[in-house]
Amino acid sequence: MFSAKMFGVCLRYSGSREDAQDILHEGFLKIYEKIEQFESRGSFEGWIRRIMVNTALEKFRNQNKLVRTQESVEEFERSGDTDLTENITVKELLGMIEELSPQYRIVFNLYAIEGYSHKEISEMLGINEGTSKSNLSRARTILQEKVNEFYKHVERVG
Amino acid sequence: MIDRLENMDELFRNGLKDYAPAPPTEIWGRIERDIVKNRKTVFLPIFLKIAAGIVIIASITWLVWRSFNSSSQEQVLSETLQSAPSDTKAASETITPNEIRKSSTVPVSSPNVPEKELVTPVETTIPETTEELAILFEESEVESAPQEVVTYENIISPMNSRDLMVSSTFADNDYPLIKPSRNEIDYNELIIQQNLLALEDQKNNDRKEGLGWSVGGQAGPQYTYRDVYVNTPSYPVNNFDKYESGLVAYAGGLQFEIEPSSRFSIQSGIYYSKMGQTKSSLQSNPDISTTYTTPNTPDEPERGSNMMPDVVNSTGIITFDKDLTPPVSDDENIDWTVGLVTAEQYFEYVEIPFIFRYLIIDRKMDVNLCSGLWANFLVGNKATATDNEDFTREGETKEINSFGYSGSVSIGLAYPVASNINISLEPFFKYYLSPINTNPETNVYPYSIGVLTGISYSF
Repeated sequence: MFSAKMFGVCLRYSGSREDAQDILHEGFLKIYEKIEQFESRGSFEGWIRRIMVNTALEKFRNQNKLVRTQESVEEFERSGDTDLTENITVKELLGMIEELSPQYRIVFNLYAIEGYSHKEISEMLGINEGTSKSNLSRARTILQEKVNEFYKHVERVG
Repeated sequence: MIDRLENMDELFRNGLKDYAPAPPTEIWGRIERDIVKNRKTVFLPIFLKIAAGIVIIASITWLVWRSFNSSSQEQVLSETLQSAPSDTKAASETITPNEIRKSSTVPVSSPNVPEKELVTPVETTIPETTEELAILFEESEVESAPQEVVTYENIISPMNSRDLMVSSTFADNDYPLIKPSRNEIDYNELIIQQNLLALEDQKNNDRKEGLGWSVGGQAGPQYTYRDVYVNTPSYPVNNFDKYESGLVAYAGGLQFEIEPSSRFSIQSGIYYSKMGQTKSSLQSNPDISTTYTTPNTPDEPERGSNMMPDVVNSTGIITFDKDLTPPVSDDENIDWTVGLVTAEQYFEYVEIPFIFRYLIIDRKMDVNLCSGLWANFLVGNKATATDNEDFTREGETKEINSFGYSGSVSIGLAYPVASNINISLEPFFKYYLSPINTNPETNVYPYSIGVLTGISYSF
């Protein structure tokens, strides 16, 4: 019953469908092994979601995909002219996320969608808070460019 | 501007937070196969641990039972010595000299030997004639033995040994000899047994006279390393074994021992133990990894897991200080080995043991067989990376359990150097029975082999 939601989580963190399947596979193995450790504090869905997110982070930590960026936070705050509407589909949003580099994608997921703070993200990923902030800023800017491109394309076609 | 960026967050959050596409159906077959495979893999270590525990408990039980059994055998022997095989006297009959058996065997009757008194054995040769037998008794040193010591005479009383010596003509039947019964005991062997019992009694009484306690201290070096069991098949276990190795550290502590019996004792105390492992070929400069993503030669380590500041190793992640070396140039010919360092992981524990000790050799130097369980509390977790020149970084290993337990076996050698003071030498093997780490990817079980030297005081 949670498999579809967890697959959605894996797709958000991975760069490809194949990686997402690997994360889902390893995540469910860990859930099976650790099921007795679930202490009924908090929701079960939240517990398995955390395991799935940690599995994704382990995978990309091993691949050393979390190289920090040297850019400063302020560099990427640019103005954008496009109004953000709800016409953009979920699949298109997912595609934009998948196109991000791993370090930007993971920090954006953890901060913007899961709701972790920069302090918590820095502890989870073993990076400092400045790195977390700069990665988030870079991710937002890239996504904003992609959304802008999407709407320009829609206007041209439409 | 900032509002728009945060609107980006809201846009993606609203769109993707509850996104739930159906996963491919074939993935469940993979998961089921791996669950079955891991269940078999994990079962074996648990089975071995249970089997090891049963063997230890059965061995201790057998040793304790043997200790109690040998005490009852000594009692039986003592009773046998003190009981009178009266049928030897009752069965006495006249025999001719030629029927005298060629042995120094004599019957035993009511020796009534007092405790803790030693008996001087008689040196005998096998007499072949009655004359030789008489001469033998005449020359016996027992005659000069002090009265308070049990002598040959007393043992065969009321018959006076001189009566046996007197006549060389046993054939006249004036002094009928006692025919040995089937329960006859060799006299010398009897005395030797009696002496051994007396010594044992004396030693046991010496032990019982004190409180049966001892206190002391031990310390010594230990070589430590680990066993690793991988839970995630894709984890780089080959990298671990290739670049990790054990190291020599030390252990020591204060101990006290309670002796509920002469052979069996229980030891506890409080100990300190330092253990760990090394990991080589760490790249201290992450810029090298970002520029060169694949190893130049087969000997170069997989860069993903050997990169500082966050190094992946068998126990999990070692996180070092973030202040790293400056960026390298864009020279494509840069040597990967530039910037390689070696890390040492150290884990320090305060340990409380519960050890069974069984005395298997009771001589001037005692030998004990020991086995026990230890409760281990983590008090230190440190990692150091260095190239032995000017590069040094410190860090710690993540996801380490603060508590664990281990088992040990050892052989304790103790030698007395003064009254109630013993020095000891104890080679040991200790194995962790619970994993040291909480990292879900692996289960790591450290082990150590070492020698403890010590000194103790008994009271």
